[in-house]
Amino acid sequence: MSAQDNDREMADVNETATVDFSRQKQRLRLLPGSTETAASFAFDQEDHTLGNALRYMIMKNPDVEFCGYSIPHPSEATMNLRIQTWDGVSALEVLRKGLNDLADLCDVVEDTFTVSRDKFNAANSEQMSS
Amino acid sequence: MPSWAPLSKEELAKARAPLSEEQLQQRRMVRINAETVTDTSATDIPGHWGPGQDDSWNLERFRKSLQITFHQNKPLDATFSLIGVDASIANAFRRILIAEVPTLSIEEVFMLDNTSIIQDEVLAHRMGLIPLIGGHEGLRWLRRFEKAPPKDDFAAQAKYDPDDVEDNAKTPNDHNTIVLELDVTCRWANEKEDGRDGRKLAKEGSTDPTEKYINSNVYAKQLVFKPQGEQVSMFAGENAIRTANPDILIAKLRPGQRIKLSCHCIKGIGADHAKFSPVATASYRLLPHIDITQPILGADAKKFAKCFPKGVIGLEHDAESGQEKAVVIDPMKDTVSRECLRHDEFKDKVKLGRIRDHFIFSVESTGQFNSDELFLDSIRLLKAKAEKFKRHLTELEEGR
Amino acid sequence: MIIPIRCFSCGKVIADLYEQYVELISTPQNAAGEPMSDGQAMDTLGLNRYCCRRMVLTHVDLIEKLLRYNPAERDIIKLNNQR
Repeated sequence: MSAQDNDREMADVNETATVDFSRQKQRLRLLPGSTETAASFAFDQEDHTLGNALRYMIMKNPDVEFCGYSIPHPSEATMNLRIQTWDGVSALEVLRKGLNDLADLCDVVEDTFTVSRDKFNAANSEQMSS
Repeated sequence: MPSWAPLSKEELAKARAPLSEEQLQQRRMVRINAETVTDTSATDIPGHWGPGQDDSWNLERFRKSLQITFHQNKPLDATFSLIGVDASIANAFRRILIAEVPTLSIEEVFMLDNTSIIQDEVLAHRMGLIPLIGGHEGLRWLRRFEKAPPKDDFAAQAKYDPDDVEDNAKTPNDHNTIVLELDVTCRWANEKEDGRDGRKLAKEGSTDPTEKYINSNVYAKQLVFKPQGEQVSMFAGENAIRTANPDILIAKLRPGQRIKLSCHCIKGIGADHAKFSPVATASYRLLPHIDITQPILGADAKKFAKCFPKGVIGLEHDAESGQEKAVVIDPMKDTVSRECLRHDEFKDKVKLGRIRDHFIFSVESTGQFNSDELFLDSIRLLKAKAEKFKRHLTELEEGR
Repeated sequence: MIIPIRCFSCGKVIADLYEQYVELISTPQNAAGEPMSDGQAMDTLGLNRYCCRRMVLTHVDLIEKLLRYNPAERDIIKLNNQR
């Protein structure tokens, strides 16, 4: 079966490697009035799940003066993210670092989770059978 | 000295020093007072504590500080502590668990015959809510069926772009649709087939429907899986699609009534309909913290222990005063009722709080996947989201 | 009318527990021949949250009444009249 795009609403977790991304619609827009160091982005089909997590990761960056997100209207599935940076740092690069950091964080959480679960299962093997 | 006076060397050094270990512990605390809750926001943002405190993102530091400890790991119920992440991250995992992990559910019900007293639409709704299980490999292999929205749903029509959907996903086929069938007819029990005569029993005054009739109750276990095409091998044997709870009561029938229907099950997400949500509940709470600042002794200690649920506060012999002393045994059992703050004798002796980065997660699966697997899925989905927008960002930069 | 499949608030499946619940509270469960109390029965069935507990505790099984509007029930009356 050919690789197909399941990504419209839901990313199939284990399929990321085979999905054909070229057909995907652009979900990220740069809002008007943005400059190099102060930009607003619109994320289509996203909500607080990504918004708040990404906002936190970007705020962790010392080059960032301000970062905030909002959902302008509850019946429009759009999330806006505002980034302002210090000292001429590019807002796009800051966003990229935020997304990278978020992906790295997920890897670490997954590793730690798997290790401690396996440890717990080994110590409590009788509990799993029930 | 006026506030604008230049700082002395010692003062300057103090302002530029990083937070001490004790201060770091203090800033993890959410304070719970008699009538207010204070210090609710996280302060681990660069610059919040001055130039001396390094709060910038550091993967190695995060790896060292992150702790996950399990309290329970059953397929249908997992409890674990996630320590060292921000609320926004923990909340993202919780939200993904509830609304974005894909699962299989009945979506379309084709009524071939329904003479029961449950109306078609009510019956169809009940069918949809039945949780299904099957081989995990097959469930993950299953693709999504992108149904075109109804013609009168303008909002959905506006969003739906047929060019965005793979041709294979536009029509139901063996890669995206599971077929289940149900055919139940209720009749009187008779001597020949069932060894008892229902009519005779009724005459004798029997009131038990299961005795008098056959198939008076329709259960979820009566659903029959009809594998299509490749599904024959994907869902063979114990991997067959079936209901997680075989004893779910779907309908009740009386003699002569019949339900015959065929269901199409597809994959979907909880954001679309709650029946697709893989969890009954996925929630977290912060670990309560009880700080006894001055010893609470004797009768007071007993009273203090009674202010908390059983097992939170214990009594210990205090050598100094020769009396019993209240000590904290297990703060995890506490419900933070604040009862102890209502009594004057404990005034200034106890401080209540919660630990801001200690999340006690509880994930209760409906059966399709194990609870711990679901949490792993939610982590991978958040990562997939980040990766997706990284690609979109590259496209955005190239397009400018 | 008929017991809902899931708890309205949290989504826990309860339709398979209702028959067991009725069994526990209406038939002898201990040495003294007493049925279980409502609370005990719900604890036994794993209905821990108050949202799920209200689902079974407050349910009125009206379908039993509606099922009487059926020709089969008329058969019983006819049978009784013949007696």
